[in-house]
Parts: sequence; C-alpha cells; structure tokens
Amino acid sequence: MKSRSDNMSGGKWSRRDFLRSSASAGLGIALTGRTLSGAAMLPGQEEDQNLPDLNVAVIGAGQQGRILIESCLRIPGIRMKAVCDIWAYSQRYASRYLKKYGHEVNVYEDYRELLSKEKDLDAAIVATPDWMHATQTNACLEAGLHVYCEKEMSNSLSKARSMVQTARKTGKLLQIGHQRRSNPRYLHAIDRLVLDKKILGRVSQIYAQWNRAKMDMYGWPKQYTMDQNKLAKYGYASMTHFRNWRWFKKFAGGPIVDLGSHQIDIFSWVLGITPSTVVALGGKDYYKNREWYDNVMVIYEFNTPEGKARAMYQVQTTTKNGGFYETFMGDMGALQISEVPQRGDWAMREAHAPEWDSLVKEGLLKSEKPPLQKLDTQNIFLDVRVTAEAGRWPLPIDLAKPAHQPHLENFFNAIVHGIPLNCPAEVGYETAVAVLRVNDAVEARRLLSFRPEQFEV
Amino acid sequence: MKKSSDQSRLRFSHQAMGTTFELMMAGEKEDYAQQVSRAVFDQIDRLETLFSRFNPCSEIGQINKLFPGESVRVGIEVFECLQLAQYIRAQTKAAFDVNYASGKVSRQTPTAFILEQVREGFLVRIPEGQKAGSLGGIELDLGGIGKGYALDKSIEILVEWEVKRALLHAGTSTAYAMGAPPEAKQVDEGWPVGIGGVWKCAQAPRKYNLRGRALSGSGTEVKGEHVINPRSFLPAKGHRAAWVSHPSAAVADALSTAFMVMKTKEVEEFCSRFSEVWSLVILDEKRCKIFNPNLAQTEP
Ligand SMILES: NC(=O)c1ccc[n+]([C@@H]2O[C@H](COP(=O)([O-])OP(=O)(O)OC[C@H]3O[C@@H](n4cnc5c(N)ncnc54)[C@H](O)[C@@H]3O)[C@@H](O)[C@H]2O)c1
Repeated sequence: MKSRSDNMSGGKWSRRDFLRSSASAGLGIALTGRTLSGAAMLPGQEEDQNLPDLNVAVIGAGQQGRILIESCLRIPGIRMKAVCDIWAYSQRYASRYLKKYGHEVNVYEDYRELLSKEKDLDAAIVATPDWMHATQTNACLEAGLHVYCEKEMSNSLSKARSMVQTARKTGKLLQIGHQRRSNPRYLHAIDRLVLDKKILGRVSQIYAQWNRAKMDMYGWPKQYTMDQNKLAKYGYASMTHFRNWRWFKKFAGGPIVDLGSHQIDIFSWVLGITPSTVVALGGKDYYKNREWYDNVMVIYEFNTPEGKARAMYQVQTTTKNGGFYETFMGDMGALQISEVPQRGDWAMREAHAPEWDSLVKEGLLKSEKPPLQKLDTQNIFLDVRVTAEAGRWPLPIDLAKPAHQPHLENFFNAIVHGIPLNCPAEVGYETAVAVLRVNDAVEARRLLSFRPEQFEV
Repeated sequence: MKKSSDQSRLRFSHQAMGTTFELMMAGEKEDYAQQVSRAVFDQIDRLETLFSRFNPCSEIGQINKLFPGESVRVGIEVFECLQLAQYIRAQTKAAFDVNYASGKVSRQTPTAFILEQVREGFLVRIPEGQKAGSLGGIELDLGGIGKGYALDKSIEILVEWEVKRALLHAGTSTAYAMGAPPEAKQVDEGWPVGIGGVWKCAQAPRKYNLRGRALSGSGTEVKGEHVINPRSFLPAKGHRAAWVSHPSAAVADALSTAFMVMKTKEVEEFCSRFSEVWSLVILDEKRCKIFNPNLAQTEP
C-alpha cells in the first residue's frame, strides 16, 4: 500500500519546498489590526500600530483556548511563549499548531510551574473550565501579568469577587471574555445607534435566546485517556466529567451560564443598569446523567430611569430553532443583533418614529427595502405596491475577522496604549451576579430580587 | 465483527460546505464511533467557517474584500489550501483556478495574489500595480478543493482517535478510505466504491477498491455542465467525466475538476509526470482512458 504523503510524489515538488520559496524574508509589519477608537479596520487596511512584542501564555488549551490562540496568531506582535494544560491531547495540539506558525512554546502541566519558570511574560490567557478561573487568574495577576480570562468569570461569586480585588490590588488589567463587548457591529449598534442616536426610543422589552440542537456528551481519543490518579489530582471524578465539565455543578453553571451569560451581559449594556429582580423556570428534563438544567426560561426586571424594562431569555439544548440572537425593543424601533449576522444584523423602525433616512445618509444604517414613500419626482403621493415590505435597516458594519479577535485586540491595546478595557473585571462581575442568580431562581421557583450593592465589589 | 445490519449504526452524516458528509466505520464500538464522528464533523465545521465565501467573517470572505496593494493574515489551513491550489493551477496550466471568477465578467486575466509566510504567520497579498479583475478585486472560491482538504484534515482526526477502518466522503464527489471494510474477507481489502457513472466504456472499471487513497469524481452527469474552463470562462469541454485517485483528497478533488477541462493529451502528460495520480477520463459515449492503472485495484 502506498503511504499518504504531503507531496505529489513523482513530481519535483514538496509542500515544504514550496513554502520556502514563497516565503519572503523580513516582512512582518503588515497589520490588519483595529484602530483604537473601537471601529473595525477593513481587512487590508494596513496600520502600523508599533505594537511592541507582547509575550503571552495560554492556560487551558481546549476548544476555546485554541480559538483564542488562532486569533492571537492573526494579531501581529503577539508572541506565544508558553502553554499550560493538564491534558496531553490539548498540550500536543496547541504546541504543534503554534510551531507551524513559528512560535516555539514551552509546555507545562501545572500553571504554577509555568509562572515560576517563565520570566518574560506580559500577559496570560485563561481558558480553563470556569471553576479554575479564579485560582489561576489570581495567581497570574499576582505574578505581575495582565490577564484575559474567559467567561464565566467564575462559578461562584466569592471567587469572582476575589478576581476583581486581585486586579485592583495588583494594578494589572483583567479582561473578561464577553467578546461581544468589542465586536464592532455591537459597538456600532449599541453605542452609536441605541445609546447615542436613541433610534429605538425608550427600550422597555428585550428578548434573547440561545437554542442549540441536541448533543451527545464529548468523548476523547482512547490513547489520551488520563489515569484516575491524575484526574483526581486535578479534581475530576472521571474522563466524562473532565470532558463535559459544563454540565456538572462542581465546575460550572450549566447552559444558562455557559451560553446565556454572553447575551444577558448585553442587557445591562443597553439599559445602562443592572437588573432588580429575576424569575425563572427550568429543569433537568431531557438528558440523563447530567447535573445542570438543560432548559431555562428567565425574566429579568430593570428599573431604568425611564421606567420598568423587562427582558425575557431562554436557553434550549434540544432544539436549534431560531439559533441565537438578541432583540431590543423600544417605542420607536427594534434592533435584532446576533454574533452571526444572518440571525440578527438590522433595526426595524416603527411607522410613527422620526425618519431614519438621515442616518442612512450619515452611513450609520443601510436601507435595504425602503418602505412606502412619497415620490417627489412624479406627481403622486404613494407608490402603491402589492405589499409594503417591513423595513429592515441593516447595520452598515461587517466584522471581517474571527469573533474573538477584536476583544483580544482591545486587551492588547489596553496593555500597550492604555486604552480602556471593554469588559473589565467589574463588568464581568456584574454579569456573573445577574447570571448565576438564575440558577437560584430556578431552584427557588419564585421571584428573587437584587440589591444594587450586590453588583459591587 | 458486526453484521452489515449493525453497520448502519456506525454510519454518520452531517451537513456542511453545501453538501452532506458521511463517515462510515468498521470495528468500533457504537459509542466511540459516535464520539469520533462528532470530532470529525466539528473539524469540518471549523474549516467551513474559514473557507466559506458567503460569510464575510471567514478568511476567504476577508481575502475577497482585498484590493490591489492590500493584504490580510490568514491561518495555516487557508494558506495550505491556497498554496496547493496555486501549485495545481501552475501544473495544469490554469485548468484549475480557485480565482478564475475574478476575471469572469469582463474576461480579463484574474487578479493575481501572493501567498507569503511572514514572521510568525501567513499572509495573502494582492500586489499593487495590476488592474483588478472585473469584480473589483479577487474572488476566491475553494469549492473545487476545500471539501477534499476537509477530508484530509478529518483523516488526521481518525488517526488520532485510532480508527483504522473507515470511509469518509463529501457528498459522494470525493471519498477517502482506510483499512478494510466491514465483513472483509482478506486483510488487505479496500472499500468498494462505484465508478464510471452512466458511461458505457468497455475498459472502464465499475468498481474501485479504495484504501489509503482518495477518489474524486467530476462530470456532466449531475447538475448539467457545472465545471467552467477557467482559461476561456466557457463550460469545460475536455471530458464528459473524470475520476482521479491520489493519497491526498484535496489533490484528487482539484484534479478531477482540472481533468474535465484538460484535453486527453494534457491529462496523459500530467499523469506521466505525477506517478501517484490515477485517473479515468470519459471522452464520449464509448471511449475512455485510464492513466497509471497499476495504482488502483479496480474491478469491471
Ligand atoms: N467566549 C466564548 O465564546 C467561549 C466559548 C466557549 C468556551 N468559553 C469558555 O472557555 C473556557 C474553556 O472552555 P472550552 O470549551 O475550551 O472547554 P474544554 O474542555 O474544551 O477545554 C478546557 C481545557 O482546560 C484544560 N484544563 C482543565 N483543568 C485544567 C487545569 N486545572 N489546569 C490547566 N488546564 C486545565 C483541559 O485539559 C482542556 O484542555 C470556559 O470557561 C468556557 O466557558 C468561552
């Protein structure tokens, strides 16, 4: 049998040769970064940010760790120096992948060893299961590193609070991984259109959902089974728990935290205030052998300066109907937005609202299907059509890069240029308070209230 | 060994890249096979988010927004795929071109692009000083190679999961098989797959025993004349159908398209230079040709 090979053997070519010949030496300054104002740069617009090299370590190189690594590799000036993971599979995957890009990393099993040995790091990315975030983030901050820590900040509020305190004490930056906060589409829609131009008028209803199809538990390649001693050493009862930590109470908060927190985080951004009460129903109704609720429906109330606002949210793990998106509804219009533009990327105007054409002229909105309008040039008042299309006014901005990249860029720019973080520890904490409380509400089966000081550290 | 009725449980399918991928395994436990299929399909989905030209966030979407003088960093997957595509383009004298659409409307030469390995990364650059193609810039479409590349990457996952006997295909147009099929009588048997389509050429095999290689087919039988000749922007006239087998699914995928465009003499010359390329091309209702026949175990 012929062996598989990279090259078309028999010819003169091998992939490696080809790489060498096309590689041009000395380049490395072409940037496709993001301007400091928060607007996304179009791809290809080259900008020399003069970012000095930043040396970065990744702790937790699982699925999300790899996504963050891939984004870092597209940001010039970021040098990956070390990877920590307790699982040989993740260690091998990440270090081999980085090597292909020319990043030689040191690999560690224990983050403490990483911190004691790596002496020229600037920052760490923490992407381990939620329950490890606080311990590892605090240790990194104490070691003098800036930290990008994945959401959920922690599975317990006391641990999350310790992270805010450590960041303050050490004066190091702590960015929490709610990446929509840096997404130029969200920044434009919320900061420019909703908050600045107030195109929705008074926002008093919110609806959001994350519906995901039924999924089996994760497995693992047999050759990468960790032995029981090692699992126990790191706090996991079995490989199944280790791979499916998000479903077990010791490690995480279940789907409402895992998925919901991304979107519930946005509610306070839009309304400018944290919630006052929450009521929720949910249950372990479908999957056996999992500890967390597989479906949750929640209603939050917010006492905004303009009056009450309510937000309804659902997370489903047995249907992907509708996918994931957020809708903000006001008396002048609504905004539907999603991290995937197909699910939400437009505003809808109420008929009585002030005209939006000037926004279109300013380039702040696009007008896809203009509704019925008076035609000045012909001597008529209306162009009567069979049905008037409800006007969907698309957002004028594309995010032409992976979804997490702008949030990482914000973090690195904060380190180098001192710009503000888009999701500092305090904001991540507020979201954790609002989201973790949903599980209490499901358990209590009654309305729970928040005191404003609960959101403060 | 499982009976063939049980085999249906080791058969998994998944929609991605505008088609249905299917993974069949032999000799694995059902639970494990299920987990393997998830890992494989996750990988294919990941590649789709990089490759899709309909998604402006994808890397191909980003490249397609570039104008002369601009560049963008990409990941190794897109880089490797484009590098292979450009190599095959050169070797087939542009019978295969992932960028032909950039010159299509006004029939100009497609916009050129350059692949560069920069310090710690990969870059796609559109050189300055050229007239951009008719659509304003570049118009990459990995449709003729991306699915094959996704199969190659999926095989790496199967190896990681120590699956030794499997058949994986992308919408039946490109398939890769490893190890022996279910109920194999001999240890070195391959997975029998049909070949030759509706054509009645006497020399053409009807069955190809696939093992350790990929097989890809391209033809006018389905979807009408869907292969466009990038040299002329007209429907391909080289062959009625073409099958190519090669250890790499990406190579087989791209060449089966190229061979639809290339004249029989060109294919012959190509296969004499690349001894790992097996091919069957259909000339007309009755005539066909096979190149490098010794590479394949086929049956009439
Ligand atoms: N922002 C987002 O869109 C997003 C998406 C997915 C996940 N996440 C978050 O990222 C984090 C990781 O999730 P994931 O999906 O990658 O999970 P995962 O299980 O795929 O990866 C976790 C990794 O951490 C490693 N690990 C576990 N305990 C460790 C320890 N004590 N020290 C070092 N390494 C350890 C595991 O071996 C594994 O490689 C979670 O907090 C999750 O909520 C964020």
